[in-house]
Amino acid sequence: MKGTDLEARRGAGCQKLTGEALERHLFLCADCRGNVRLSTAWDTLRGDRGDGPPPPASEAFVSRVLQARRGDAWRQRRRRLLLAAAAVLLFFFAAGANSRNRETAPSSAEDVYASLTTPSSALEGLLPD
Amino acid sequence: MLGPVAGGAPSASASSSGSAEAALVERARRGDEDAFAELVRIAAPSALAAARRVTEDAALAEDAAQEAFLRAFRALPRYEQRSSFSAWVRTIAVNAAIDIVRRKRPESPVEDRPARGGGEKRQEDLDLLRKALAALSPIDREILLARELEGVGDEAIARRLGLTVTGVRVRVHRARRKLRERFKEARP
Repeated sequence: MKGTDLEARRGAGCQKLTGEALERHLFLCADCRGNVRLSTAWDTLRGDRGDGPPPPASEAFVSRVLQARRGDAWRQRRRRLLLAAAAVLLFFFAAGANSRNRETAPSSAEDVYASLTTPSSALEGLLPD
Repeated sequence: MLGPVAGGAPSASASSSGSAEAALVERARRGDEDAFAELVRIAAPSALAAARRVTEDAALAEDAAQEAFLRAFRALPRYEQRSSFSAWVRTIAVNAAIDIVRRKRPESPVEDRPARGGGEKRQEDLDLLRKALAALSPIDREILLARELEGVGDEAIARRLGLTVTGVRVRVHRARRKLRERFKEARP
């Protein structure tokens, strides 16, 4: 790596060093050497290493992506549809179960007590006029 | 072609291509397939190149780039255009490429390889970076890639991922430290 390149990447540990002094320091200091290598690796990943602009993508790749997107959109639509159908089924199941419960549910404690305190009509004949 | 996101003020041509890109993104959001195809043509070169640098394999790079476009399309409603579409897709492509390599290739220790020349040394460092990124948690990796590759600020990342700005800064700090440690431990 060129000296100026190294100088641009040096870390806080060797800010004041330049040229050969910097190279000597990097040879000995694992921290700064690691920083320089990491910075260089990021540049390489970004494509900032002077490799020139990347070639245009082939039309075959573009159509492959478009086809994959159509398949993906169809799968997503199907998933949404299945989820909606499941939600509707669940709603009707819950509504049916609720109405069935209401029909067969025993009376509340208050209703039972009220029926006990109301004299039945069968006993009315025994009462004196 | 639109270049990766720049740190400084955009030039006139960059801003006009940026507005053209924004119009394409808007049309693609509404389901316009031609607009999406045009976005693929614009962003594919840098996404493929970045994915290829990670995978070192053309076919795997195409898989990663395709996966990146699908993820980008699904996330289009949440895309805020803080960076160029190309830079955004490139970041997703690198992330997808790291996942693909991790799934398909068992890790081989970089340190055991024989000494190499300049270009190979660069590839070795890139390999080390890929492995270090793969060892991060998915969210830390996404944050770091957005910072380093896309040049997006902490606030935008926080909004994108539903985190606090402080949370993003803490994660960036932690992830960078892990990467530095990995490079420090590596053979010179």
